[in-house]
Amino acid sequence: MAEVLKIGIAEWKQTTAPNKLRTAGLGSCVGVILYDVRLQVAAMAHVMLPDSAIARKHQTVEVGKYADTAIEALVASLKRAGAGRLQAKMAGGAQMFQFKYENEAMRIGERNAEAVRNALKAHRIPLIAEDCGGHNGRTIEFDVATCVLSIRTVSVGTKEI
Amino acid sequence: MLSEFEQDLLKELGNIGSGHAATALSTLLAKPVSITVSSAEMEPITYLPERVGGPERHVASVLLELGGDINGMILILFPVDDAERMVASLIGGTFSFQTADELGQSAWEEIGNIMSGAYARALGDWLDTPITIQVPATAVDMAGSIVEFVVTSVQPEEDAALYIDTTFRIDEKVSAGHVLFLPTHGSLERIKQRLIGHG
Repeated sequence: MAEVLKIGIAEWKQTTAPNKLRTAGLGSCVGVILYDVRLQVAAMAHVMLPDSAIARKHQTVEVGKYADTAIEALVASLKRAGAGRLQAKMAGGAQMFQFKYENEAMRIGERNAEAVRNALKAHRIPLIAEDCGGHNGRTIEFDVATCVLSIRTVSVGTKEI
Repeated sequence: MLSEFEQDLLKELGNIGSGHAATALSTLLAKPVSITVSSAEMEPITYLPERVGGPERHVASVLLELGGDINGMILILFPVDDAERMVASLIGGTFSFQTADELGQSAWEEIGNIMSGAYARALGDWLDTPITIQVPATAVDMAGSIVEFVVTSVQPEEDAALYIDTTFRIDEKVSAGHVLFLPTHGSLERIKQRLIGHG
């Protein structure tokens, strides 16, 4: 029986085909999936912030929360599962509100997406497809068997990348 | 996390703000409006999407940025149907966000404006400190997307937000609204200090 694994804010999970990975209501956060096509194994993270350096010193770092630590954790875990050539897809990083006077903090979605792209580059993982930016929230589901990422928005409906 | 004393203070703040908001909304809609606070808590941000009806719940929201002595944001969320009904009763006729005409859209912004302004004023009066506000922004989308955007923009280093659960009664119809107050880290500390000072 195929199972759909749900990933909450700042979490990450790994699974194999025929299972699916799903995260709901992405706003400024980015959902990123690393997968091995041949081995049919994949991991998804719901990344909230660009850089773990922002965490206060006494805080224990939740690895799924930051782009840098999330990609690192996904890569390590997939390698442990025997994955070889990793590929990536991602979606999210929207700007939900439009303000007259914007400050840097409000461009968090854009910065999240950029941080994930940079982390992927650093690990030499090709980004196969992405659907980032805009002003809409997204719910995404990754089918490990087909490596198709379906993306649902309230205004546009569902599309696949 | 908050102590019981702080939780009571927060609930009282929610009550005062809701009183102001109900009066303002009642005047605008020319209908009886009451808003009651059912709970006020400090919630871990990972639970917030569930608390506002689930991450995919379709909501209409208003976001107000606070400045001056207290920095942070106030976010008000309504189920879309209820927000549409409010707009319809203000402009007369029907309204849908999907076909948002200009009149309806500006009516919704006005509702958001006076409601979020009421909460901000209550906060300022209560703390006896000047709070400046900007023109609020509105968004209609999935609750989870809206909440996480606000949380990460205001206080990326925090793991919890102040959360006030409210029940709106407009024209005898009941609607569950959610009010989130997210002070920046420094402002939360200032609020606590002032509260303890006032005792």
